[in-house]
Order: sequence, then structure tokens, then C-alpha cells
Amino acid sequence: MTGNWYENKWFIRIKILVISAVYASIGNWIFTTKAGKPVTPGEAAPALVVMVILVIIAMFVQSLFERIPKWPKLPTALYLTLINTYMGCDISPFQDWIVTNISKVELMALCTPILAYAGIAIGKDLDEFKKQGVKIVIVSILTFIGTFVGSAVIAEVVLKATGGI
Amino acid sequence: MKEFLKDWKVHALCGIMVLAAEFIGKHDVYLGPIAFTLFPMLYTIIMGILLALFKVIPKSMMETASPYITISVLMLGARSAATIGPNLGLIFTSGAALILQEFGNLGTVLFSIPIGVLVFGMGRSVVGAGFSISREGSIIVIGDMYGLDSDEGLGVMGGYITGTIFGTIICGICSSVLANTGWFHPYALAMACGTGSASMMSANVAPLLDMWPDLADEVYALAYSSNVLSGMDGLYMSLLLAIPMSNGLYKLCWKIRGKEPPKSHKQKVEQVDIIEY
Repeated sequence: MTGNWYENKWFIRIKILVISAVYASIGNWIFTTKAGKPVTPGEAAPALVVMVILVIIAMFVQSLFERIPKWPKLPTALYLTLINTYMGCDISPFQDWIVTNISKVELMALCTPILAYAGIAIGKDLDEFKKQGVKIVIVSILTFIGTFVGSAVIAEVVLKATGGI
Repeated sequence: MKEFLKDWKVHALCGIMVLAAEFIGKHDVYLGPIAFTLFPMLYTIIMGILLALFKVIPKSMMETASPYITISVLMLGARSAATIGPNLGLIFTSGAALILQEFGNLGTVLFSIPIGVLVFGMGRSVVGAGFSISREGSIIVIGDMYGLDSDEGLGVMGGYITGTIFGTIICGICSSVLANTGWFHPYALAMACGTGSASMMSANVAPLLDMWPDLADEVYALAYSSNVLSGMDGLYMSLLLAIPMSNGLYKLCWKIRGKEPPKSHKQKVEQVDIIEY
């Protein structure tokens, strides 16, 4: 192990996850109060603790797999999704607990701290952004819209054709 | 202990931004026939841009915050435990649509390249900026095929930076506008949300959850699955389809203009660093 304990990869990961969870619980409280169904940070806490643990398990599983020689570098989100799909599916003994508790944490409240970090970090790209041509910026914006609209049209047509909706 | 607390300013600022954003709350915006909703998460991005424009926070804080996004975004993945598992049935029955809509990501090529060439007369940088939504995977593909110091590289880096700064805001508004048209079923829009970037996915999905609260779990499950799928197939889609299509269209559009398509140049850009999101 190199460096000090507070520079340890795992320590930083857990710290950020816990801070995000705390902010999310407060944001969730305000958000749900405005929506008329307040969920206090205390009520959301068990779900958030379990979510932090799930992420840490996924990171741990990832680090174990990556010790296998030639194992491809896959995103943590993929391991997390596999674990979570099992946790929430019909054959899982945890399904009921997970669905009732995690649903108390509004997705939108969870996003706010994440995008707040992104907001703080954004400034370092602003100068570079100003140097880019306006044309590149417009074309990039078109791609965001085009990707969304293109996928929505195909999904709508296929869902109608296969009787999904 | 002092070093342990050295990044406290970043966390404190993050907390203040979250509180301010949540207290402002969501607001509906009407611009003539276009209606969309602004959500707290988008205000944090706007606050960040303002803080940087007025040089309120030092660059070191921005650099400290950057890797924290990658970690905290996993909380969204953990939230999916409550939605994907219970909706596995829906995801399987929507399988065909879920897979085929991935090709919709190519739809962008059909209008970004022609507009870039026919309207702006752009050179090879249009291929870099226009073939995809320019996330990490796209940078890797372009870097590998053309080099990041090429015109194509300049395009994809420009797209990356545009996406980082404006991506969430544009996605949030775009999905809100489309949801308000009433032309699409929420499931179709949900699948379109997954573009391979977690923050853009959340900005896309927020207006849908707000508009169809009864279908919130199903919508999120589809959006999240579509996002994971895009993350997996994005590289192959780019290499095998999006880039060849863009190159073909690029030549065709220049032929329509009746000129020889400009060739790629090597740029003199400073070292380009890729940040993992």
C-alpha cells in the first residue's frame, strides 16, 4: 500500500459515497416535502446504507475479477447492475425489502448531488470550450437531439409492431 | 488530519448547491408551443457554470471534484436494484424494441453530418463531432482510428466538452419537449434515454418520471437497461456502423456541394486528457 490512509482508493470511494448519500437524503426530504409526501432522512437512511454497501460490493467483486489474467476492464456499473438485478428480481429473498425501502429515495433527489459535483468540475472545461469552433458545438448539440429522437422513433415503431404498447 | 480535510470545501460547496437547487425546486417553462420542466439537478450545472465564469472557485477545486462524479454516479446504479429486478419481465418482453432502438443512435448521423457539411461547410471535424454523442467510448474510437491530434480528434473533443457542459441541460429540455408532444409512449421515450452517459440518462429520464409518476419504476428500469446496453454496444456501433456511415455521408454531401471533400489535417493541440465520467 502506498501513500497515506486518507489517499487510499477505497477510503476515498467510501467517503464520496457516504457524502453523496447524506446529501441525497436531505435533498430527498426537501423534494418529497414539496411533492406533499415527506420522507425524512431517517426514513431514507436504511435504503441509502444498503445502496452504499451494494456499490462497495460491486467494486470489490470487480477488483477480484480483475485479478484474473486477461480479464477485460469492464465498468463498475456492469457488475453493480448484475448484482442489483438479482437483488430485486422475483427469486431474490430481498426483493420486498429492497423495493419498499429503495423506492423511498427519489431518483431525482439522488441525481442532484452527483450533478453538483459535475457542476463544480465543469469550470475546468469552460476555457477549452470557448476555444472550440461554434460549428463543432452546434453539430455536437444536434447529435444529442438526434440520438434521442432516433431511438425514440425506432422504439415507438417496434413497440407498436410487437404489441408491446 | 489536515490533509484528510483538504477537500472539505468541495463537499461543502456541493452541499450548498444541492440545498439551493432543491429549495428552488422544479419549474415548468413555456416558450410558445414548446414546454419543458427544469429540475433541481440542472440548476447545479448552471450554478457550476456561473461559479466558473465569475472565477469564484479555483481550478484545483474543479480538479478535485472531477473524479468524485465517477464514484457518486454509482449510487444511481444502486437505485436500479428497486427497478430492474422487479421489471425483468417488462425488459424481456420489450427486448426487440430495446435492442433495435440502439440503432436509433445512428439516426443522429443522418442529420448532423449533412447540416455540418451543407450548412457550415465543415471539414473532417464534422465526422468526429457528428458520428456519436462524443462520450469516452467515442474518444477512444476516434483516437485509435485517426489520432486525437487530427481534425476528427478535434471534432470529438469539441463534442465531448460541449456534452460535458451542456449535455445534461439539452437532454433534459429535449426529452421534456418530446414528452409534451404526446406523440410517443413513455416506454419508447424511456428506451431513448439510454445513450451511454449516466448523467445524460438521468437528465433525460427526469421529465418522464415527472410526467408519468404511475409508470416511474417501469420507465426507469427501461432507461437504465438501455443505458447499460448502449455502454456495451457503443464501441461496436461506432466502429462498424456510425463511422463508415459518417464517412460515406461526408463524401456524398461534399459531392452535392460540387467540391472535393477536404482532407484531415494534423492539429497542434496541447495534450488532450480524458476524464473518466
